[in-house]
Amino acid sequence: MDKQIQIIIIAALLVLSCGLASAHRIHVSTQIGEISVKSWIGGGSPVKEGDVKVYMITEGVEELYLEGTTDLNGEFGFPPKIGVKEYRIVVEPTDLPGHKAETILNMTQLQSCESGEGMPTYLGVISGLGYLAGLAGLSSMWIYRKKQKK
Amino acid sequence: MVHISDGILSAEVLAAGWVITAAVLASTIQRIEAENIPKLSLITAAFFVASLIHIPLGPTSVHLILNGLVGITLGVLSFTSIFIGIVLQAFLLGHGGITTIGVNTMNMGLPALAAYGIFRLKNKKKIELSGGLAAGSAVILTVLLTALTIFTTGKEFTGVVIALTAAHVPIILVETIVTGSITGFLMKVKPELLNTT
Repeated sequence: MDKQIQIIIIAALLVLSCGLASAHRIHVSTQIGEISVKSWIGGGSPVKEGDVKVYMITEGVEELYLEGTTDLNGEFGFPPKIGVKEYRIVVEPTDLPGHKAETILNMTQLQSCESGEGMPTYLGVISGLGYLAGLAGLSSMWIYRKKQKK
Repeated sequence: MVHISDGILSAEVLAAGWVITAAVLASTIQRIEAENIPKLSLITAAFFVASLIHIPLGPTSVHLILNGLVGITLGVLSFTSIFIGIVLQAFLLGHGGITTIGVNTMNMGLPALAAYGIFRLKNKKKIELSGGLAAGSAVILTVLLTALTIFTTGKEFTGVVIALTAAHVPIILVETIVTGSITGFLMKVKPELLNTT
């Protein structure tokens, strides 16, 4: 009887230990989130209720995927389509006629992309003033030479 | 806000803008004298940087234009100054498109020339008023020309004019007051900076 009880206890422990092991099973679940778009006007104000057009680019061919409007924070989200690696996103503010911005989103490059911000503003200003100084020098030289020829 | 972006206008309108800009540039650029260059550079620098001064306005923001001041101080050379300023703004600050440089120069440069014309009819006793009036008129004319340009895209003209004018009322007021004050100040301390000929 002792042996039988021992076997039963060992068997029960084994079964229970299996149950405990399964409690530590790790689960993996995948979910594709939405692509978020944020747009703003120079100066930092968000493009509120701006028209958004999303084009999907497949093998160089562009096709309108969906349209929508940005929220009050200038944000817009859309679900990606399986198989599409590239999108062109166009935002047009409704209260700013004549303005439009667009960006190309490549899904294979996992990083955010931004358009219209080539370099920091302060660098743009410094470069511009530098160009103006250079242009002033060059035009002065040109006018001086012209006068000398006369 | 009066800087039109790429991808909005048709090729015909873009080409017309370039042709008009090239024609006015060709007829005015030859008048640049060596002694005008420091003033031209200084005013162009002010015009270039002015677009960075934003005034928050409800859901959006507008920026200074200063084409009236450019017209008053540079006269016929103002068109060249505005062309250079717009090229630099487009390439370095991302204001306006590259293909629209011609149209944008036309929309801001012609009102600058008009401001110079208005300023020449000045009342010597009320020079601030003449300067302010010229600057305010330049902004209004710029808004109208921009609206007319956007109208070619098929948008309703009245709606565009109302939207652009409403957004630019603060700019018209600010530029009228600021340019009027600058004109009065320059007339007292350095009248040669004003293009009174």
